Amino acid sequence: MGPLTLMTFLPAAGAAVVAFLPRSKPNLVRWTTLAFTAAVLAIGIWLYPQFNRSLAGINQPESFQFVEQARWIPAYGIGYYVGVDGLSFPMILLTALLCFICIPASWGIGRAVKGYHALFLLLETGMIGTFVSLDFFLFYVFWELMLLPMYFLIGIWGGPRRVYAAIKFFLYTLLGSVLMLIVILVLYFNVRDPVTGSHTMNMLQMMAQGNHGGILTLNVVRTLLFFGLYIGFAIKVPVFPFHTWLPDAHVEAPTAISVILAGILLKMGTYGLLRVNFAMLPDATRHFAWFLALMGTINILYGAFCAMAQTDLKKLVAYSSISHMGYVMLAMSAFTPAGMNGAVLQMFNHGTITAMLFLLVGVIYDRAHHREIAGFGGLANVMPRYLGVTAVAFFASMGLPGLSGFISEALCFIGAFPVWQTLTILSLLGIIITAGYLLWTIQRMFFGPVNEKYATLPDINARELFTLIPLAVIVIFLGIWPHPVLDLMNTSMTYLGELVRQSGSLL
Amino acid sequence: MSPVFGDVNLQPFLPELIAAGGLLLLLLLNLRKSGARGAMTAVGGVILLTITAVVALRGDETVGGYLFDSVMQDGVTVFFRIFFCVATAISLGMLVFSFRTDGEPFLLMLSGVVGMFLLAGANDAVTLFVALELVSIPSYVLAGYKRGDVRSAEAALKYVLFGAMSSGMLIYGLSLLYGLTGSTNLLEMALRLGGLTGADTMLLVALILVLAGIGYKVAMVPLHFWCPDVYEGSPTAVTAFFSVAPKAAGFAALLRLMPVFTPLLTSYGVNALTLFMVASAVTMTFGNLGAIWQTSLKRLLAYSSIAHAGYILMGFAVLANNPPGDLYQEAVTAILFYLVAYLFMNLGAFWVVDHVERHAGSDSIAHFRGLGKTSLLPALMLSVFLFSLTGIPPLAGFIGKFLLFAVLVKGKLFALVIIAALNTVVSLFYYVRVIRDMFLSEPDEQAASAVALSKAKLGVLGGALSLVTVIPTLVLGLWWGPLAEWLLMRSW
Repeated sequence: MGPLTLMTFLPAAGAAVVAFLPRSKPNLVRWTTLAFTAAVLAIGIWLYPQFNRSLAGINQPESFQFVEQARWIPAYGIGYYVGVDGLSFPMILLTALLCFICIPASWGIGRAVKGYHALFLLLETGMIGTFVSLDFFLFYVFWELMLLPMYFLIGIWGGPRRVYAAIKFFLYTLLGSVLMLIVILVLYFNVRDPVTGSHTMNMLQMMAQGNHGGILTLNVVRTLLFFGLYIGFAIKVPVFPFHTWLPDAHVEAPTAISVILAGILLKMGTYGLLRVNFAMLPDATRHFAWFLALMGTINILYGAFCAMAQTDLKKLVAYSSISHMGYVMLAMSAFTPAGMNGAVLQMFNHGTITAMLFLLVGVIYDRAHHREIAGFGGLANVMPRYLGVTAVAFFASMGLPGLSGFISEALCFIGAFPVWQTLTILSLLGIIITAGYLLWTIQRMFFGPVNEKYATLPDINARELFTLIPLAVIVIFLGIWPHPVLDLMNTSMTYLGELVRQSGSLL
Repeated sequence: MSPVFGDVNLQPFLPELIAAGGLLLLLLLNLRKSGARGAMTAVGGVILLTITAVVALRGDETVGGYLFDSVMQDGVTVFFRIFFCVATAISLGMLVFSFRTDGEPFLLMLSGVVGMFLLAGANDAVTLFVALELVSIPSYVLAGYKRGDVRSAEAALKYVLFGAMSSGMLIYGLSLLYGLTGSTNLLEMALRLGGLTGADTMLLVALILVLAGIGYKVAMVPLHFWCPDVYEGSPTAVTAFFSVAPKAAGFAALLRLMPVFTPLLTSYGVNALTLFMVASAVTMTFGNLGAIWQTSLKRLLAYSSIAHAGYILMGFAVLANNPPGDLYQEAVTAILFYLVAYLFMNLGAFWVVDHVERHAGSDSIAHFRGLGKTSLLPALMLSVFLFSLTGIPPLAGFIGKFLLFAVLVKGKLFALVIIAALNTVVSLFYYVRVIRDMFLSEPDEQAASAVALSKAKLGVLGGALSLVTVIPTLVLGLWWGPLAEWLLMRSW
């Protein structure tokens, strides 16, 4: 059993272990879960130095790393096939890191502790599995596997409107998934493995344009497939107008689950676009790049304006996520090295920054039991340490130089500008609006007269700092020296951009 | 050992003979006065079905037509025999909870088995009709077996009336076909219909009537009206049986009839493909939309079973559009696999409903509120079954849908597959509503039903029933290759 299989299924094994622990010992459950997530993170860290930065992966089977292959259902061309390249490796590191941090952040969950942690571990299996799968059937199974725990985690442990939020999330994502399933089948029946001559679910075989046959050579089919996949992934990102599930799900989800939603699940959408749309249908991607860029710009501006209008702190952060995922969309639609790297780096950085933001919202919510921005004021005097950490996260989110958000946003814009001048200039407005709503929020919450009700709130405690400090260190460190993460993806993303740019024309 | 009757080879008929002989033996044993006749008959029945299934599995699959070519023995017949044995055995187990002292319901359920066997092999219009009646008549009695219950009586009456009407339609349609071709042998009929000209309308009417007759058995819209009422009124174990075995028998008969459908090509563009596409799309959409509004879980599952009939009919649309060959064979495999997945998940769902109904006093969805708190295990099982019915991986129902969608995509019926995909999303809404009530709502701690449920034990039989339904639902979701290949080998 290789490291990737271990990373994928260790959490599932942990879920089984947790299920058999005694109900009367919630702390044992928490520590066990923490141990399993720590083990997954440890494997990730152990792999980090071994990962070969000069191999591209993407559509070259020989340059994927830590590959494992096993027979599963050979009659249907379905196999167990996992491996990572520069696109997926940063994502599994991010997943392992955030999952580990989310366990201490869930220490306050007091209801049905066993169920919560078992489902959480199952969710981790689904997420890592999705990122490492190189077989489309396997990918789809993991992709759907994430839905079930997520539904229960929001629906059982969420806020007042949790039931509505959970089903809305579930219905939206399932709609995207079934469309994706149809596209997968069309690809499956029109791609042949050149060696065996039979249909295959192997994603890399589907990426080899020479294997495409049948109706897959028709431009209209390629266009339809592109948009079928696009809808499936856009719902996850979420791209306007499929975003309406996100504010509901975020606001109702418990803190740790919001972190996972924004930190990892949203990245599934852009990851899917890059892994599937870009690599399998590069010509259609190139043809509809303007569409991706346009949707990215709309996301940036729409998300930012919506964020500005929010009175609920968590909703504000949720909309800011929509806005920040727009940068990813805009940057990757340029196919330039800077844009492609910026997109994936922004995915990674947004994962850490937004995780901090949601954790910080959780800190204040646990104390004040509400999230109305207008209800606070003068917290700077009451919770000075909280202000310090919040400032790091907010400034990183608005892209202040010296923090990680700046590097990735700058790369995104540098990469996008040569190709999409007008859209990039429009998108730059997003930065100003982002700075506007974040600074305004800091002002309303931390400065001005102290709200007497909250004059005695305790400052951020050690457990909360334990979840935030590692993220803050990463945010600051990558802001000064982004290479440890950038180097992981550079070869792959440059290659993928080149692949799309060199692809034939759709018309 | 080869039982030969003149020049009639009875060897392939052995499973039917054993099932019928065993039934008579059990009937005789039932004459004894005993306190636990029901349980004993169930045990006897399960043993009988096991023997029958083993004999069926070892049967020669290359026989072809026998008994004057009125019955076919091939891989599909073998599959269906085993299928019906398993479905009936699980249903017999469920029946024990409601009828511990009565032997008759068990015997009635068993007596349908021979009919279903014959239906799966029928190669002659008359055999097909007789076999269908053999399945139906015990069902009518079973539906009304809750003596003194008005709803059960209503269910039986509705079942009889609708059954009579659809039998009439079927026999009328078959007689028209006979008139057109001069043969009752289905393959012969198909052959002669291929060369027939100038009788479009007549053939269309005949086939619509035949489809309606079978459609009643599989609860195809618009012949589904009996279904929710009968499912709601019948004893739950009987409902579980109805939702799987006779439905599968209907599909088995339809598989045998497909060669008769494919020659249909009218001058005004209606052909077998349009017939099945419309039937499938309407059935699944109507079933799913109907299920949304239900407050009784049995009614909800009734509508869901209508929807599933619609999904399975998609496979028939592929059959109607393609000559026998690779795709045809794969479509038959997809249909059979779906039936297997459906067998376990649907029987499982009804089994949990039965469990709750017996302890809480009703199958109203309100009684499932907070089931995750009062009795976790049944609630978890029901969630597995409902998610599987929705078609969420890694559960058997997903693979069933995956294979069906696959043959549709391969057959380029994209419109239908998109309708089915949207239907899947709709179905999630009502399946998850039940799961929501079980896990996301608090139980009414004071209510007698909640108290009774928290004390309810599954018992040995309950545990066994849970295992035989849950394990295949999970295993077929992850490791389905062997079954799919086994089926592919047996499909034509």
